[in-house]
Amino acid sequence: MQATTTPPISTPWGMRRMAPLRNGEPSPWQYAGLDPLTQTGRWIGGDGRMAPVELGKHGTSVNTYPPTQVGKDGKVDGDSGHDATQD
Amino acid sequence: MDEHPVLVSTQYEDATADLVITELNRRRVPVLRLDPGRDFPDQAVLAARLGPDGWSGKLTVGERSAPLNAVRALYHRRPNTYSPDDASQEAGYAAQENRRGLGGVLGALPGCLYLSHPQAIARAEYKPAQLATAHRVGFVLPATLITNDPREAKEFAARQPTLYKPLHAAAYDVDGEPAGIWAAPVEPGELDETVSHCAHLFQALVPKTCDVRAVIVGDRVFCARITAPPGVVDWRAEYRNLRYEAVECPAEIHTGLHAFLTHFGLCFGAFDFAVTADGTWWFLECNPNGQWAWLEAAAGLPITAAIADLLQNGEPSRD
Repeated sequence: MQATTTPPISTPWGMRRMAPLRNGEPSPWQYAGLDPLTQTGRWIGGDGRMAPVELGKHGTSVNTYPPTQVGKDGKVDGDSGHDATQD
Repeated sequence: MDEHPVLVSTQYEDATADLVITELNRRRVPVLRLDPGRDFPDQAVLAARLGPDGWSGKLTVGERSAPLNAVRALYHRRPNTYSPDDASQEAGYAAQENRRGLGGVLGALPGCLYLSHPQAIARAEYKPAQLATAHRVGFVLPATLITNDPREAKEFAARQPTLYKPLHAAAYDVDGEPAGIWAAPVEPGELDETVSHCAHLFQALVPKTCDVRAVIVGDRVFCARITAPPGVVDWRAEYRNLRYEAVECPAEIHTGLHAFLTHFGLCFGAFDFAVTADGTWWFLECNPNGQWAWLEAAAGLPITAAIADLLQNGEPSRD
């Protein structure tokens, strides 16, 4: 019986340019669940107080890390959703 | 729930959706928020019936429910995928049935305005389709090569200053730290046979003086000039050192944006242009479901209200 060998997969040229993003500021906001009445998220700020999302306070930018929302568990705020991966 | 709710399809932690929902709440427009890939079937109940006027019935999420034949608009933001719970065939079956069942009904609601339709977004995410359409609607484009042939790539990069950028920005990591690939210059000597290992997109480097992000919502367009430090090709790499300023959209660009959205059946687009010293706007790409909320704060563009107008009225509002 022949031993099965996995051919080495070498990195495509473009992928060698991959680097940590490191282009954002850590956010003091922590996600704390949805408010069933308003249907919006509850966010706890650095001072421990709960506040709704306000423009310019909670980051909502593109491809930043550290993530602009702490509650996102390290997920990056990309410019696209999952649409093109599940079409 | 009152008649004619707006459905907002997104992850729970989507702060951008919060801004829009808050504005809809202020206007007393009923909202049902859900993350279909996560809420269904445990937290959500669907009963959809086909009648003479299309789908009717009810979608219930927690305490709220929406009549399927009276949804005024669906805001498709950042929902999770319909992912199987595990690697079993059973979980795979359920995920596909949920996607085609709930996802299918949500994509076929009668009289509903989609901002934007998920399948239209998916189609428009392909850069080759974007570039072909951008050319067709009259935008100025940099020379572009998509290839897995190292020789073609070298020849292209030798012909003019060239950059490389990925065809799709997915989430990657380097040693556990979130990572990505910025659009950046390429010298012909850097290119080797590993170009043959996948498709690569190369583009002539536009000698830009600044960038513009143009956010179009229905028939309204909001443009912000983004100025990065000298020599920066991809402004996303320099978030902490950018300047923003609201600018007017030239009439011919506005016409092109509208034709582009019409071609793809979109109600929204976040377009990136490079602007050269002679004032030409070069089309770089369109993010059919791109981010916009940070721009509202940075450049003073009232995009939340424009999105709420469209969702509330179910048709583009006129200025």
